[in-house]
Amino acid sequence: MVAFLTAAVGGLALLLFVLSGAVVELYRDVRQLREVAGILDRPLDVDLGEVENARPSRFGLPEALDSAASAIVLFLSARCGTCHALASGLEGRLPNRLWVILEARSPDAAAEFLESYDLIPGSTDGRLLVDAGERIAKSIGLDTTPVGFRVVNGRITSATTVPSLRYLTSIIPEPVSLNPRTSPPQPERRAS
Amino acid sequence: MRGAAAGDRRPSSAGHVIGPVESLGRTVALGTAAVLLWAGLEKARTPGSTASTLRELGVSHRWADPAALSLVAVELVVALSLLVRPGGTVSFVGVVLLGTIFALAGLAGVRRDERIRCGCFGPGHDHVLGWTQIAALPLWIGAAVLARTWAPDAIPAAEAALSLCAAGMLVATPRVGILLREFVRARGDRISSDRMRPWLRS
Repeated sequence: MVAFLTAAVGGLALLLFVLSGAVVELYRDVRQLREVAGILDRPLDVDLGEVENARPSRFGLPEALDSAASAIVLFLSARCGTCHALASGLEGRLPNRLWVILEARSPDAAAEFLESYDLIPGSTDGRLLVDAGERIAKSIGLDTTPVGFRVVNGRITSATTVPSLRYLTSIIPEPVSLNPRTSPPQPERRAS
Repeated sequence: MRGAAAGDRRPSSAGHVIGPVESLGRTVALGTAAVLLWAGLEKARTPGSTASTLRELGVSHRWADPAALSLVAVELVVALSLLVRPGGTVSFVGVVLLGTIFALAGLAGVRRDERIRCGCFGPGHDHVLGWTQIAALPLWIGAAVLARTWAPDAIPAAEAALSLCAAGMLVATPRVGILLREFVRARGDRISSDRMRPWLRS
């Protein structure tokens, strides 16, 4: 009896193997269909016009961005569904080199949005700004959200819509730095 | 030598103590059986993929499907034989035969100009026939010789059932990991699709 049950467990494990293989294949088929349909993380380039190569502070953005080597400035709106999904995915903290500008009609609407997603301006190193009255967005000419602006060497270089958190994560710059193995040469001391 | 290592060729009895040499022989047989089960079951799920590979190797359209099914049957029979009679003649000949067939297929792949998809472990892999199958031949022969030399000719039903259970776990466990990874990825795709819908409408 024990031998039969043991063999049955083995048989079921093999059945699980076959069935899970079919499900894995199904997942891959669905992914192919989504890719063909173009509904996965399809960002759209935003035409910058005069904004291109301008300094961020010119439009009311923080002056610290003027000296940033690389950064993404993400414009969210309290009224946009995707923006809520992105804010939810941030889980209350901003990755390095990500700045968030929250567009809201009123300070109350902004506070409600930030409170919903545990985003506290004081705990984000000044990288979270509330643009009540949409002053910054109007000066840039932005009427779409969520949009991410790339800042390179203190200049706005490009902008793209941000359809998903996954895409946002992929565009946040990760700088590669040199890691010298030898210590720098020491200056020679001259005998006085 | 064979008798010295594994005792004589009598079937292993339920009460006897398994020595380290026999354990090694049975472990090799179990591992080989798991590999053949994985390959055979995956091919059994999508026999058309194997038939397609055989056609690319030059097997006529008429015989490709029966040949694919035969290959699947041989793989599964040899796998089960390794679990029940790890040191038996069927296991030994079967493993050597399959290893040789795979190596010849690899050789054909090397000699052809175009890349022939392997389909060795089902349609989900991008491997091509070539040096891997040729290089695997010594491993197949080595496994067959080790199992033949060190594992008993036949093992008791309870131990055979345990071997089948272990082989099932061996192939199912990594597959469940793959399934979970694909599930998480598909969930990400679904969320992305949901968020893309407003963009696509506008």
